[in-house]
Amino acid sequence: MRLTPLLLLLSAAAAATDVPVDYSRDVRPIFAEHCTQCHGPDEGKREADLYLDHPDSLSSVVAPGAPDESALFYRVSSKNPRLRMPPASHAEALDPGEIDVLRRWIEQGAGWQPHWAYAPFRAVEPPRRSEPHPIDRFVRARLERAGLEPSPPADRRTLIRRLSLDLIGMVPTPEEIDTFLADSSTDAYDDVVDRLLDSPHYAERWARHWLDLARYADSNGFTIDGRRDMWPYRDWVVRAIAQDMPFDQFTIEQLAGDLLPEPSNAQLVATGFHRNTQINQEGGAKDEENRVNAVIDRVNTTGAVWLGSTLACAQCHTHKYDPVTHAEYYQMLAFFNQTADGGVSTGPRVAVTDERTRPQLEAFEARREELAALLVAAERNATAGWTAWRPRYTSASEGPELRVLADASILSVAHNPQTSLYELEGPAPIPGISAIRIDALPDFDLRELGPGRARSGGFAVSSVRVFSRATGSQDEWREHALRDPSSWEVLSPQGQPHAAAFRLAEALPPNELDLHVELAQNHGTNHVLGRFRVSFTSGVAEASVTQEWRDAWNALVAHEEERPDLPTALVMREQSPPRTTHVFQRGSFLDPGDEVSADVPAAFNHFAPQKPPGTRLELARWLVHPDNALVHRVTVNRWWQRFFGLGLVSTENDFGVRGAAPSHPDLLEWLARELVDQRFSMKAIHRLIVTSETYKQASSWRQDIAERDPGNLWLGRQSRLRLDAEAIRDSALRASGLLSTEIGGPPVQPPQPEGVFSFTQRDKKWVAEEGANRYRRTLYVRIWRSSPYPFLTTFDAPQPNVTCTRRIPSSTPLQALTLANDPMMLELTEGLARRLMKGIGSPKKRIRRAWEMALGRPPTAEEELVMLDFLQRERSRVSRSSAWSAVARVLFNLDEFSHRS
Amino acid sequence: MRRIARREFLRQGGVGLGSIALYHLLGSHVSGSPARALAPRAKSVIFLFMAGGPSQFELFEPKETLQRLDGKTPPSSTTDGKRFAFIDPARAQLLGTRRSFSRHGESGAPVSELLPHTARIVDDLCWVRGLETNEINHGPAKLFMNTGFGQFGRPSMGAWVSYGIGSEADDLPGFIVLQSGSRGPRGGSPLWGSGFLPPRHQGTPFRSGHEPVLNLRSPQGTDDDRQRDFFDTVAQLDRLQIGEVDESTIESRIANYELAFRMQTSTPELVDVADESDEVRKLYGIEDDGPSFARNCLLARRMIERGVRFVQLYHADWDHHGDPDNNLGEPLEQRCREVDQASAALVTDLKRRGLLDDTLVIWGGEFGRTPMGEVRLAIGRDHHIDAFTMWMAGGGTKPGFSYGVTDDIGYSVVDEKVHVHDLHATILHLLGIDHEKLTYRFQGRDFRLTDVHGKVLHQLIS
Repeated sequence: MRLTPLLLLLSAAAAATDVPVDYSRDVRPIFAEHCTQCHGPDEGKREADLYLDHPDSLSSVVAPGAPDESALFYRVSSKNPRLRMPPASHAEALDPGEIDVLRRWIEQGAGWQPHWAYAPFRAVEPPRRSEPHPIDRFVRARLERAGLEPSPPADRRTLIRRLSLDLIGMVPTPEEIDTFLADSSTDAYDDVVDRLLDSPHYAERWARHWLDLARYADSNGFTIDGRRDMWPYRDWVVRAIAQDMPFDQFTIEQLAGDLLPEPSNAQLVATGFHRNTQINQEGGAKDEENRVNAVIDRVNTTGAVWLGSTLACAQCHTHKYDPVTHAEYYQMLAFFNQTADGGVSTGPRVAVTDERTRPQLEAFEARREELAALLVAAERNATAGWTAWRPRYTSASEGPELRVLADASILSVAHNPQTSLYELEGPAPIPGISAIRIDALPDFDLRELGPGRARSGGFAVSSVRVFSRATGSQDEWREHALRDPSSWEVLSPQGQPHAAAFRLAEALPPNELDLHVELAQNHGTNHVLGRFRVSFTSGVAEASVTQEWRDAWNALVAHEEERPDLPTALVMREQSPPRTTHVFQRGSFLDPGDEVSADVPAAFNHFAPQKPPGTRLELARWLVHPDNALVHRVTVNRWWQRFFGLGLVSTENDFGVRGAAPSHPDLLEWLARELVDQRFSMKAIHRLIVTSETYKQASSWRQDIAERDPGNLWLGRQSRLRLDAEAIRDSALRASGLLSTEIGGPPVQPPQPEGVFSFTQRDKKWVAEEGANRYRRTLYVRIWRSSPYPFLTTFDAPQPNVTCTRRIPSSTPLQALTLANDPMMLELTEGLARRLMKGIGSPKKRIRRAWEMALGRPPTAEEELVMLDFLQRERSRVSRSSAWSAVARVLFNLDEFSHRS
Repeated sequence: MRRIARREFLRQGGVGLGSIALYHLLGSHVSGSPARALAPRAKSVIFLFMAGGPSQFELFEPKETLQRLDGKTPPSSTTDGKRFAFIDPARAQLLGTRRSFSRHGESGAPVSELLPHTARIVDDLCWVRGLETNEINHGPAKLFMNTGFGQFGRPSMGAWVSYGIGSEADDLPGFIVLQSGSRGPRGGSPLWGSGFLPPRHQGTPFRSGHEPVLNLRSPQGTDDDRQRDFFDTVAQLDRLQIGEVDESTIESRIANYELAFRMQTSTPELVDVADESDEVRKLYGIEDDGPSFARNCLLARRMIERGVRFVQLYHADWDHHGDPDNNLGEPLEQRCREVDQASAALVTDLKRRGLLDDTLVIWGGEFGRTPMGEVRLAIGRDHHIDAFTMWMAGGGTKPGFSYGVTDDIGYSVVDEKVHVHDLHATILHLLGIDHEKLTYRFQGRDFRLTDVHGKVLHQLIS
């Protein structure tokens, strides 16, 4: 059996008899790996009613101090295949080392602790050592135990390149390097750190990390993948990070900004975080299914981002390893189940304002509300004597869905059918009905303002049929004939309201009735009602649209033309009335089980005994409560991972019992606590990390570490990391001298190879920018979910369809083809070449400059020779400028260029 | 401490990737893979994906009862509580086919008049007539057929295979995707994505034309010698970093650049079918140099000849609901004309070259179509997930064999049901992979292509 050296070290430690067995470190992982799939939290699948990671259950199979009297030990160590656990049919036996750990654990009293990640903060102090920086004291103490020396500090050039790439995502300029090299003060390094943390580019770089988690894109996804305006949310993230918004506030505004008292426009925009879910606009897609998928994604993303938890596993059944039950999953879902979005349309959204545009918009909205009120009044006057009906059930054949709005009008959404039969059902609103009225209502969401869904806004009702039966009965529906023919068509409605009344041959009896109304619309070419209202009367059946009504509607339309031209952003908004939430059996929304109310999983909630939270806002506040140690551990760990390539917990998205144990548990604990103590300042934690000697070490490969700590878990050196896609392109942009440093705004379209969209359903228009927008930072490049910018995917940027907590770097030939041949890259090599050719100077001097611009260091003598030779060969083949472009091209293609040491 | 195999540790730890990548790129015949526990019957797969869901009732499944009940209300058991994408269950009517069928070959398989070429090779085909899937809309159903899961995030079958057994192609990617028809398949790149597997396992989409991979062409004014010099200079300078950087990382990098350089030559050579005889071009029905399904079928053969493990061809527009441009009349006939001859030619050509024995060919879409018609301007059927048909050929499948029995109107499977998970398990099995052992740990869970389902259909294997 092959063990990782880490495991060897731990086993060696645990095997030494004087070292106490630690339940969390030594025992729980054995249970999690071999036992809890059958003897775990899932009651449905639990065998022998035994839950090994639970103290009550454990006491039934363990006799503290006496392994030989413990059923647990007897079964795992048994040589009898019929008795041995785990059963031979399922898995291999535990190895002797593991059995020994269990024996000694029982001997030492079989202590149990909750899983470390779900436990409250431990009081931790940095070890007493001479190193001034607390992080170094933790790390050096651990290195010493492993018998490894730390690496010396990296040289200054490496340091500033590392800092620059990590903090602002671009290489430093030669001038920045020279300034740092010339600064002999003791604060030189700290000054660079402060300068970079204050740079607006820092916010861009770290916003990009956050957008990976937020699954940000500029389109709706799935088949149609229509455009969406999400960039105001992206800019919100950049601004929040630039001003070092405390992480608790950062969380609350994104998860529940809309529920804050009198939320600002920015706080509404912040809720775009969970509007980055996809919308399936494919014909035949169902509102509710789409909505449920979005809500589930929000639960799973929240779990991964804040709780470092694989909640998704509990969607279909109780979690196999972690203490999250099936019902608890849906309690979490209940928090997110109340928003108005999530169907196949893109609402709700807000116009994004700033100081200049806010008064404009407010004045516009105030007037619009006045006009809307006038319209309501006019409608009411015109329908006096009629009672609007709010059906309880609606259905439509051939694909569309009917949504009942607050004013009892009904909007036909989603698929636009050729023909359709609308069916409505519900209690009769008044007794003794003698006529039915249909108002066809124009709407801003309909083509040509409607009221129908045909291209012209027209509609055609082929027949109106009215049925009734006694309330609540299951009798056959009785049809009531109409006195007149019931067809009604308005093929060219001009975006105006229309009304028609149909008298019943005989009035309905005065007793309580349920009504069933059918509107057949067989005309074809989408001539179906778009928005309409059904009303009844027991009196005179006259229906007309008054001049007052038309005028009020036209005034609203005219006003809407004046709407300030502002960008909009998708936001969260609670809907009313609230929905009930049910457990979905086996994860299927078609199979609802017990009703549940919003709550957080009990195992995560060790600190908030007060009343269970109920709203998204309360959930957000619970997540970032200072005592919610798990969330703070997960957060600092992910930041750590960005600076070292690997988190202190290497499974950054799984802090559960099957996740990796922290390499430096005390450091993680201390750092998480520090986040709280530093008032949730991200910059403070980043400054703390990058000013440590641990961070500043050289990353040079070391034989002893390669042999004894191949994962570099003990941090005996820095890691050499592949740059993110964005950092590669942004660095090339900066070195080329072409970079535009403009911050924010709508997405841009730099050149991309032709035919990128040939593999998606809809050809996306991609007109390459001319001018400065061609050279904006990669953060601003438009992201179509179905066909992202190829440079990004080639260099491992995530598909923005699900949250991504860590990019896994790959090394592929397509990357080589991109860096070597992509016209966009070639354009940047020409930019760098132009800079190299400026002024007078020898080729040697220019080559030295090239190295400094691209790699932040001068070439070695050997490198210089290789490049001079190459330049000479190029000069014999091509023009001077082409030869220098070729030099720049070589530099952009070096392994060193796309890595940070 | 959790026990993790070294390979997995390195891969998931994001460190030391270089040596692993090298291992996969150069020595990519991963014979020692734990996933490969069985003797493989197939070495490669060509999946002809008919995007949109072709109608089994117009192509492969004549049903006398359905003909007789044309225009009648379907039994309530087929509509009550069922999900349809568009059909209104209350008004659904059964729809008999307008196509005539006859039986073909020694196996006597029924094939409609629309597929005369397929009719000639039925004795090489292994029919799966009782397929069932979970998803009723195109995007999710395509994801399900490709990744075993109806939403984004899981690796595709080709990626799983690449991860499990690597590729034998030295100068081409191991998993290639081709496309023909009016547009790309709904769902886009996640259909051939690598999900949580390392990104190098994702499918590489080849575009039509002479530059199938982006950035395959050297910059303007750069001939092969100059490009070679460029690659050599990069490699020379990269090698100077050895010592500072671990050697295998640098060598892996250089290997990638070498493969890139070779692809610049090998890929245009691959897609240039000029060296194929007229007889071959005629067999496939390749009429001109333009992109077509026929040309893609020929390219697929050329790819597997060069060791590519998994080739997937998408052909769009099988979604025949009954709209004027999208119905079971002329639009269906046109689709059949586009794919019939070349699909049959591919099987024939592989067979006569001795390649069919270890190449598995699969033909079908993400679901089938309802026995009920839709109320639209022309004749059409809705999406159907309870029973549909695919065929396979070669790669160890039983030739001239039919599996799966549906009821009289073809609504449900009454015997020999095959869930998509079972199909996946069987395909992996034919490649020598145990679908329960091909796992990848992500977020603390061991994931499989077949999730917690799937059984190998030994009945389909010769």
